[in-house]
This record gives sequence, structure tokens and C-alpha cells, in this order.
Amino acid sequence: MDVTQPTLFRTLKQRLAWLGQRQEVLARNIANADTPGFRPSDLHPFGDAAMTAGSVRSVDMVSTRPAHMSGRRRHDDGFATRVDRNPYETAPAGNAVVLEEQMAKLNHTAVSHRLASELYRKHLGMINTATGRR
Amino acid sequence: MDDVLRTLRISASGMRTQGTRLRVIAENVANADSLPTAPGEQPYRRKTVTFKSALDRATGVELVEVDRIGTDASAFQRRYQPGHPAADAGGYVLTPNVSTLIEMSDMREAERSYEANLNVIKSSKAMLNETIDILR
Repeated sequence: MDVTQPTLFRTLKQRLAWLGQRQEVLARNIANADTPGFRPSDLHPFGDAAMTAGSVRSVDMVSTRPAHMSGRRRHDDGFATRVDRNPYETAPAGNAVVLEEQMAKLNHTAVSHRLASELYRKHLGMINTATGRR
Repeated sequence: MDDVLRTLRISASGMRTQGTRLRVIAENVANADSLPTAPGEQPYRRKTVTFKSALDRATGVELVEVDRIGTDASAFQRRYQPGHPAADAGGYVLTPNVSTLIEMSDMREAERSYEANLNVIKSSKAMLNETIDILR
């Protein structure tokens, strides 16, 4: 096993980052459950595209003169989000958030996060066992 | 991890706006019998509250906040009560356009949204704890 390039760790890290960002998107949906005209959004499902998302470096602006301020993108775009185009129901004020649906997604995110962090811990324990530290 | 911490701020803003909504509902219910004191005056007019999504520039988080607290333009109700000081020539008194039933259902909805935001905070807290547990 190659400990310097642990694929499982990298995958789990991406998974945890994805779940964290999804939690933020869902929180925004739920907080706006009574905002007129608000449409809920969600992340694209976790897949190959999401796994490689962090490995692509963002392009920063280059300062050509010392007097120029260096341009840095404040934060990378993260995982791709999409607005729900076919909501289950839309309120007369144009709000398309269904609280039950969002809560189900939220619970799914929580369970997946638990699974991912437990797997991480398990893997860490395996490496500890291999190095004879326990 | 930053995302999960920002979740707490978003949900807190949601809870704050629902709190404002509950306050407005309480004002409406408390003033459901606030009648005028003289003929020609108007009784209490029902207040409404609308929300909007707003970007917090300091953190780059899209929070929810109260758009404005407006008034309900619907017509006042009338009650026949000739002895009242505010009764008009026909003996009718204008009463507020507050329907207790509507206020109660609105209150339940605000409660439900508040709870949903609270659940998001609980869930985010559990996620943070799980991540911290890896360190142990």
C-alpha cells in the first residue's frame, strides 16, 4: 500500500467537501423557504467529475508590474450547482421550496457524512495498525 | 469545512427572519380588537412581512433577510354597535382586517420554518463533531 498517495483518503476528502458544500446549499434552500420567487438548487450528483474537481487548479491573474495588485480568485468555484428546474410544487408567490424534500436531502447528507468520516477513521486505524502504533 | 460553518450563519439568518415574522403576527393578534376612538378614524391595519435573499458581502454567503414590513390593503370589517364612540351615523364601527384564523395558520408556518432551520443547525453541528472526532 502506498501511504504517500492514499487514493481512499483523497476520495473521502472530496466526498466530505462535497457533502459540506451540499449542506450549505440545502441550508440556503431551507432558510429561503418563505422567500417569494426563490427556487431551490442542489449539487450535481457525486461522481467522477466531482472527484477530480479539486485537482484542477484555478487560473489566477498575473501581475505584470510591481505596482499592480496581484489578482487572486477569492475562492474556487467548488462543485457545480444547479437550480431545480422541475420543482414538485410552486407556491403562488413563486417559491418552489418543499421543506419535506429538503429535510430528506439534509438527512441523506448527514448519514453520508457520518459514513465517510467513519470510513476515514477506519482507514486511519488500519494504517496505524500497519505501522504498529497501537 | 468552511461550507458547514457558513451553513450555521445561513440557518441563523433564516431563524432571525422567522422570528421577525412571529413578532409581526403577535402584533396583529394583539391588535385584533384595536378599534378607532372617534367616527372617521381607522382601526388597526394588519401588517404583513416579506422576505428576500441577500448576499452578505463580508463572507460571500447568501443570507435571508426581511424585505419589508408592509400593510394589508384589504377592506376593514364592520360591526353594528350604535353605542360605540366611533360608530358612524348608521351605527357601524370599523374593525381591524385581522383574521385570527389566518394569523394562527401563519404562525404555524413560521414555527415549522423555524424548526426546519434549527434542524439544519443540529445536523451541521453533528457533521462538525464527526469531523473533529477523526482527530481523536
